[in-house]
Amino acid sequence: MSKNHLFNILLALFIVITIPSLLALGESRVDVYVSLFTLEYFILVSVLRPRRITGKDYLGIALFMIFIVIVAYRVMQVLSS
Amino acid sequence: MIEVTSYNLYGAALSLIGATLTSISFYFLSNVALLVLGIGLIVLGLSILITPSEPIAKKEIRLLLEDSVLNLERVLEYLHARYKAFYYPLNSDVLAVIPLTSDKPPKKVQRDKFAFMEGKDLFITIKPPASILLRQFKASDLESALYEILVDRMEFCDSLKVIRGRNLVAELKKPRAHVGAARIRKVLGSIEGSITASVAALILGKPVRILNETEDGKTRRIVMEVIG
Repeated sequence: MSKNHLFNILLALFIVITIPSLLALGESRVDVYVSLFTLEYFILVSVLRPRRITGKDYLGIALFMIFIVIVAYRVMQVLSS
Repeated sequence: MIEVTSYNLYGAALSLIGATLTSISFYFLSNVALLVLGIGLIVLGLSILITPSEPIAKKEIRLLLEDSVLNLERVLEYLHARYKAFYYPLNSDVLAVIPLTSDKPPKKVQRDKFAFMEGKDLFITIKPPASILLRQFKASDLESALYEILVDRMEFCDSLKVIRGRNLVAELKKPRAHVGAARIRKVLGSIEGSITASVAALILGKPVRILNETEDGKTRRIVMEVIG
């Protein structure tokens, strides 16, 4: 099995584990789920370094931008309260 | 040209399903579980969409490349080449200069000639194997450039690291190309070694020579000398 396929299989596994686990903890904030998906994605990228047909990892860039927005939103919430 | 296969289309379909699920659960159902499941499907689908279904350098392609250097082996055999080649950077290209009569590097490389004399010494110049790959890397430091070519693009090995000391050492984990041509290995090095020396010459802007290559279990160690 190539590392590219292993990456997607492990990502699917991580996502499948994350959703019921957080739901069982009563988590209902969508940004927490997205942050964890992003974290899992980058952990797998750093370990397996999959190849991309686009050359650059645009999905990684998009997830990172979303993560930045989520963190900025949370920081602003803390500062304004 | 990006080649999209059924595997990638499956990824696109998965992310579309995810997007639909996310929209429906957000606007109509107000269900967090379905909403995050939809987002998860979008991430997974997009990841599958941008993943190549087959590695570029499949075993057969690597074998073709290895087979193609066998003609070079015949030329080197005919010329009784026995000294190790010097990899010279020339603009954005690299030339392997093979000394035939002594072990010294030439003072000046005549790039447009196949063979040239310098005093009593005879040299031949050839394009190193897989030198076409040198036009494609974008990285500016040696380890990143080697990683881009040998690991990401060609999958010639699983990972690598470069150690700089008195000599330049590249350690390649699980190398896959195994050329049986003994003369080429002696003069130019292995295919990975040749690519490594070419990239090193190009990045450092100095001639590079492979001193030796050793294989220890799953690691190939390429020791290079930077000249000048």
